[in-house]
Amino acid sequence: MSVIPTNPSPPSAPGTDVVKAKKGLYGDEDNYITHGKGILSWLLTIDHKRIGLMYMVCVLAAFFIGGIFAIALRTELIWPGQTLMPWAEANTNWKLYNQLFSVHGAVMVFMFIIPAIPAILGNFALPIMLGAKDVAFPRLNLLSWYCYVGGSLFFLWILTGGVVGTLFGLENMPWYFPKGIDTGWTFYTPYSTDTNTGVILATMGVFVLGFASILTGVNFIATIHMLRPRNMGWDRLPLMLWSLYATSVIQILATPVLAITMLLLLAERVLGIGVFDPAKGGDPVLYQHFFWFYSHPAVYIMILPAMGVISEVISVFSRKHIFGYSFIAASSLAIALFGFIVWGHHMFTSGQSPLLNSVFSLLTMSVAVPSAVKVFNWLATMYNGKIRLDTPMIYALGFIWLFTIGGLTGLPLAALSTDIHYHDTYFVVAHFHYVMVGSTLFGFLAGMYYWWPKMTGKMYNEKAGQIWAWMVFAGFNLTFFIQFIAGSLGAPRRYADYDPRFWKYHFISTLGSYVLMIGLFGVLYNWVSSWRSGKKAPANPWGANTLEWHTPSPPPHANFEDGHEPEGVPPYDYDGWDYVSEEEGYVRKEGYVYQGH
Amino acid sequence: MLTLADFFTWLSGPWMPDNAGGFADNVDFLNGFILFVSYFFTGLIGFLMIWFCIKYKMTDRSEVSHGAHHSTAIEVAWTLPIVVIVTFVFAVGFTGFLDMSGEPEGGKSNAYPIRAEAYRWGWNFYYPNGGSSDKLYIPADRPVEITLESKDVIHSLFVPALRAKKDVVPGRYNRMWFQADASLVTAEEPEKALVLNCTEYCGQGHSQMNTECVVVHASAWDAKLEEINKFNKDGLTPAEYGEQVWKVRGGCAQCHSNEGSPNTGPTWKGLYGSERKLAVTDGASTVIADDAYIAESIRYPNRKKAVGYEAQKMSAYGTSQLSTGDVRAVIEYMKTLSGQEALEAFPTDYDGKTDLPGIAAPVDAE
Repeated sequence: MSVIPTNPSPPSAPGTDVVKAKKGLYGDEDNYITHGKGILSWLLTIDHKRIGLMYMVCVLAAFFIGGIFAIALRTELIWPGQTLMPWAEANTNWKLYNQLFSVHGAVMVFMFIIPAIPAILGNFALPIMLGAKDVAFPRLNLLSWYCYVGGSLFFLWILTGGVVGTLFGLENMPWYFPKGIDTGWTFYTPYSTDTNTGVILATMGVFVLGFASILTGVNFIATIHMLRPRNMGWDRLPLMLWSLYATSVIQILATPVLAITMLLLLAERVLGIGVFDPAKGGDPVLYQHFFWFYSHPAVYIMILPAMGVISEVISVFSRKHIFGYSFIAASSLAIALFGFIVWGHHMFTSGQSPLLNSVFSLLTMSVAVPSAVKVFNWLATMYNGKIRLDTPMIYALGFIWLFTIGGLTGLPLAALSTDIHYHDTYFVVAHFHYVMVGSTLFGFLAGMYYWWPKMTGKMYNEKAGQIWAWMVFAGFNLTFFIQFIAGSLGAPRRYADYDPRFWKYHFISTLGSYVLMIGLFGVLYNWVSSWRSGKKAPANPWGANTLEWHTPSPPPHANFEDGHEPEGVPPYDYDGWDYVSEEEGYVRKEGYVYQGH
Repeated sequence: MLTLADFFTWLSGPWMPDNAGGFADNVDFLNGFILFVSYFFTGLIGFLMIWFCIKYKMTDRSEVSHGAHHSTAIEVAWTLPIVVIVTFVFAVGFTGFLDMSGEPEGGKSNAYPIRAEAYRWGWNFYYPNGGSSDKLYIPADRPVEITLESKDVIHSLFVPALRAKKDVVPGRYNRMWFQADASLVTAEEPEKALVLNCTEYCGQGHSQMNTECVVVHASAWDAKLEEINKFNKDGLTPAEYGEQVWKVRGGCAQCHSNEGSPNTGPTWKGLYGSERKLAVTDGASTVIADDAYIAESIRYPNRKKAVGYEAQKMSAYGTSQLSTGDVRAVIEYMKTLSGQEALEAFPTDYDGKTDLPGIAAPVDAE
């Protein structure tokens, strides 16, 4: 379809070329993107779809920054000895490496993985999936975005300032080059109360970012409870929303504990109150309890939304009703619940009582059940389906593969005696990258491709999308699978320099990270070129039946066309749609009546 | 006869480090079992995904597939094996862990007690006869029980070949025990070195905090202890010995250079005998870096910090880490870095426990 730019783009759009360029890309069409003009119409918007897009720009920027640090630290490890700063002393290199992995972890966890799916895809899709005009508290939603952006900018300033300062050898750095952090994203005491880097400032950043997370969670729960349309009982809630619901529960209950932990850390560092530091009468293992009481559930904040995306995609792209709806929904809640009672498995070697270790090990095993239930149900959904292997489905299948490996390698980490061997080796690094990065990233990419036509109103280049998907998949496995082997052989993690006998593993892993990086840039290019010059997307390119596909792409400002009052439908009943090849999408059958429900 | 246990252990083989005894039997068996389960499920799930994608490929976009989409019987059927497997995995891991965290084999009295002290960034191991070493020496014919102490932050003692690991937490006295495989060493080849790592991130030099766990044959053990206990066993001059302390034993080189470039701590080049400006918080006065000042800065490093190093925190070195003789050697080494005359030799039967007679500023006056 030809695109006629109607008026010159206004000088202002939220800071990116992408958004600016598309101003002219929708002609006279009235949709949520063209509905208001000028930068203030974005910065002051309370439209959940626009907030989703604004989150998308920022979260992807955070992913880019975290990725730079990932590539830098993998490059340092490409061979033994010092790589990044060959001109400097060895211990300056170690210092740099320690900052790199800390910044990488902190940025990726707090600024990318946690907000990625809920804040971008959840914000965009959740109200439309409910047939609602917006989330329950639209202003709170905007506040959440400001918390995220404010916290992120502050956090990045602290973190990258330290890296830059170290890199250029600035002695006694000026105030605008804060000292960064070198504690890892875990801030373990007493190291974090002892180091002279910017722990206090960084924890304040985490504190603010936590509020963004809590506000999103509150909003989602209220919206799901209060704004469901007529005919949508809990049994017709799309599984994506079940998993976002479970996620929100964790966000609300666990995130405050992180805030408390950070405050206690501040109290210790600033006021000298002995909480964690044994020199002041505290207990460092107490810190680990506090920290993991948040951070273990946080792992499920990261993975649950991805599982929701996968449940949608697998069913839609198998053209078949999801198998075991109630079991998948229940398993999301079970994972959220179990997530709260297993944190102690991070401390098997800390010297906590053997009884405690045994109880935590047993409880941790329970997580295997809902995880396996999900995987089996997805496979059963594919069985006898009509499988359409488009990009979202490739990412969904990649998710299942990576999650299977990530989940199974969790077994020896949950079992006591094997964990003693694996604890704090590269095996753990590989395991959590398979779960947190592999699975969550693939779930995120599956969801981005799945809702891309809805969000932007443009189709992406399918062939290119698939090629990049395979490249990301290959790069990811190349980077991290080899780390399982290095870890089994006893390579400790967080080592700036390592025993030369491990160089092969590190070398291959680093090469893999470059492949992964190229693949991800390909994905970005795929999206940008789709937004600039993609074909107009039909309302329902996939034949899905959740409510967001009952409205045009991109949706109008009020989500549904005037006069259309959405009602709950069985989300996985695909019989009501016919494929129309001129539209390259699906059109509703006239007078189709849902059966059974 | 090949048992199932041997099979699982064999399956673990290529991925695990050498088995030098310790808890390797339990860990490798369980690891092999989990590998077996993992291979099976990854293979099954991967195969089904690929097979379904080929067999059920969509040909007509309008088609919808119908069929059962709910079956409690099937859900229960595939959940049960999972429950059985994870229960078994838990049980085997649990028994292995009970072994690790319980009494040493043959009871406490049978175990050889060693005290391990971790600091940034190195290890010291103390033996019942009063000797200490930076490598962990263990007898091959009996279990050892190690009490773990940290001087500063959390460290973790890991010997991969023994599958043994325990955090060294400040303020706690964690214990661990293990027994190496006695057949590792013979009377002819009485020593076998195993890798020992720190596996809890502890800052700048974390990756260098490695040493060896040396298994020693029973016949050579007494001689080994004797050797560990001996001060300056290689008969070095005090300055040479001090350089060794700087580089290895004390780990001073991590923060103090010997050629003039500043690092985390001040360089030692030209330091001895120079005038030092103290930080404002420490009185802003000046002192001469003499024997007493240097000894005090080793024993109580945060008392009199020099200007420019206020924010740095050095770990204190007590007599258990650096003996009076060690500190004396360091001072003599620093003298050579300032171009001054150093002591020529230690007395022949000097044990390093007290200061040398006739020294003007004794090291441990307090």
